Amino acid sequence: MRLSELVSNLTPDTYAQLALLLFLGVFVAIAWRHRRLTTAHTEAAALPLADDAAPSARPEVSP
Amino acid sequence: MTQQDTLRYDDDIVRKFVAATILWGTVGMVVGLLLALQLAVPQLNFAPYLTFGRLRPLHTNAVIFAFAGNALFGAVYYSTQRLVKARPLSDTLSKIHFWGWQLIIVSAALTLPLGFTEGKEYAELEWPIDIAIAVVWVTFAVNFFGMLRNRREQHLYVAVWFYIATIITVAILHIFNSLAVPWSPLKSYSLYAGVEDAFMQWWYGHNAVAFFLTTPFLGLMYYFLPKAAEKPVFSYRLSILHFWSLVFIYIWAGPHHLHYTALPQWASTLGMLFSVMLWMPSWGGMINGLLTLRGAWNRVAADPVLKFFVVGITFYGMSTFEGPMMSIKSVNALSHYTDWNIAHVHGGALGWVGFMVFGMVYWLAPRLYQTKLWSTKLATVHFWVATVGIALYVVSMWAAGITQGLMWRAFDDTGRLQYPDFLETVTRLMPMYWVRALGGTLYISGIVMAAYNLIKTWQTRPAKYAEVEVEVPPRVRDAATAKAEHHGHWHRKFEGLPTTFSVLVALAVIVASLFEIIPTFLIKSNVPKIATVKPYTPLELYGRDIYIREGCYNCHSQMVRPFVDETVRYGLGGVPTEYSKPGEFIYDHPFQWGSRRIGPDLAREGGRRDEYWHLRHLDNPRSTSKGSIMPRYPHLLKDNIDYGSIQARINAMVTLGVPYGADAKRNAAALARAQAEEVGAKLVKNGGPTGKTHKDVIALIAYLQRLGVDIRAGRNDLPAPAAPVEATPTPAPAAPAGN
Repeated sequence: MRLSELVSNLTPDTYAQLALLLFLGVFVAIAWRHRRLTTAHTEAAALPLADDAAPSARPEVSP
Repeated sequence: MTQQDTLRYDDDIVRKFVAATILWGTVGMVVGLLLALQLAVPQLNFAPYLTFGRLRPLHTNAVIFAFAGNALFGAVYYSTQRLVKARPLSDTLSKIHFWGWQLIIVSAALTLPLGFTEGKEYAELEWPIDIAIAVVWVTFAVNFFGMLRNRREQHLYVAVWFYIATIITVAILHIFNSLAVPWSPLKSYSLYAGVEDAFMQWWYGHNAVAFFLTTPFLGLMYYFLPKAAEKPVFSYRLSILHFWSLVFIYIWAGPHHLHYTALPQWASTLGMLFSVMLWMPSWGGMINGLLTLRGAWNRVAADPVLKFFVVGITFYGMSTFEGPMMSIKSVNALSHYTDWNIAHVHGGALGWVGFMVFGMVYWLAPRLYQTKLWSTKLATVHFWVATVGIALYVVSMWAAGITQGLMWRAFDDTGRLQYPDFLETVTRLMPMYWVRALGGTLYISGIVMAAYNLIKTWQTRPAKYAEVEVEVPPRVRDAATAKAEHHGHWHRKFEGLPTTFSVLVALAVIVASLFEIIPTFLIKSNVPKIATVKPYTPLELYGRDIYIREGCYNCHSQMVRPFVDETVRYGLGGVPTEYSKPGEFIYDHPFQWGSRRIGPDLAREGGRRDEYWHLRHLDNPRSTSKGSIMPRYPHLLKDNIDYGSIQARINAMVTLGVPYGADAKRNAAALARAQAEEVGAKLVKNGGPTGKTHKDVIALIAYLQRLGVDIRAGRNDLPAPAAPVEATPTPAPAAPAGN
């Protein structure tokens, strides 16, 4: 069966249903995998605050 | 003890991009103010180069790609270096990226006023510039991914994911939407036609908003907001869900720009569903941003950087609420083609993107120039002036949009259109247009303050910038080490593997796109052919190119939606017209459906008025339509038709599969000349001047007189297509004046 035939025989709402299922599956998988990673998340979240090393990169803003 | 390497950040490239951001932001917004004033005072259109139709793409391109583009590049280079502890791959590539992008901006600024446009919103730039954009974007990608390859910090922070999604997706969107067949060194026709072109264009257009104006600025938020607040992001877990949800959902939502058009209903509904789903991740991101300030709200009152960030994120929440709401079909029926769209995009571009950029710039200025910010007070004044400005702008355009939408659909007690003359719905908006101009002026005065503040700060910089050096761990080269560092968790591994991560992002985007693109292109029933619809004649095609060159699509749609008020308004001789069908547009490379009705729809314009009316209207719209705000086009009455170029245009259309006959393939110029003689003769017969037969205006009139004629050809309940309606300054109720 050619791809165009396969696609033509599907009704458009099938695409919507497949798409929603696909998204839902990935969303649940990611949410599930990240439910208990507190330490890793805390480390990762701190990355932006750990990048200023040189004094010249942190001058004060005038009042 | 682990041996440490020394890393020097390249802040010079960031300084360049920040300066370009403010420069082009000022230029783009000043052009925007001129456009706002042109709508209130049409005499401010200076033909041929500075008319609304030619300048509007310059404004949108300048603000999106020059202002926001330079800002996102600056943000990416500054934050990624620090987050991954690596310098961009090559200083030379950084320079090529910067100067190449500025060259593209200058090219756009020159070609758009000259009328070189592909006629597709936010993708107007012609094919050589499109190629240059692709080359510079790839340069950026190589430089960026090279930086990731050389990184010392193995974990890729969430901001970097947003940058990766931006780089990959924008490349895909740009390449596929820009496919075209050139017919001259600076002109081309879109590879796609009609419905398919519309679908591709708004797949691109919507996702340009998503992946050029949203994801990189979310990356900016996730980096610069914690820096300014001196607190980590509220929930890193939420940022992960925010990221993947946006990447998965955003790409589907494009068809909501085409509700009630000739796009198949299933595609439109799918776009709406996914748009509504976008509420969830968008508000999750907004809440994550605002809660990052927990415990730091007391500082917001004193720190203009935090002020800008708070209002910027709030506008993100407002815009991402408003967008899904406008995608709901019943709301869209009212909002589409009105100034409500203008309110929405400016809330996003000036409120969200603009405020985040200004917050970043004020935070960066003392660090980049290694001195104190010249005036915090001036930055605070900028914040308040811009806030009042954007509020005036958005509220006035909401009012204008809803007024327009309600007036268009209003019927009186006798069942007739309450405002049959389209001009009534235009002149009613004038007070709102003046308030918009005032709001824009305030916003622009804010960016001028920012420019002055930055220049004064720059003037107090040290004689030589100190190099920013940091001690970093040696580069981790092998996957085994990376694995050991990441506790074996699968998502953490992906985060540490930019190639795998990038492939997953690309897959998410491509799979989502294919779910909509494949059926749209392969199911033939999507675009049934209409026997009476024929290709444009050579002269009409030339006229259509003038229509595109002058940017008529910026004010006129060509799409009668299946609403009673529209079929009645755009009917002929008191008989409602057919609503637009997909099969009408199969030879339209590119489609010209437009997204806004500053003037009336033109899909059924053919035969409504005679040739002389059109000539007078194009020469001076106010001579036929009192109160019209359309620009004058006197040059069309002076410039000669370039018959020598017509064969190349036809040949390009033949390449695209448009079924021209042997005559057109060999003698297109002669056919055009013959039709011009006919149109010129009708012009004179209707009282028009002689000597205009071979002027551009004749070709444009030929095109306008063709619009909607084919779809009427099969009906016998309408006046004959060629029969002109009597030219009168005051239109008949069912045949509103073109303005």
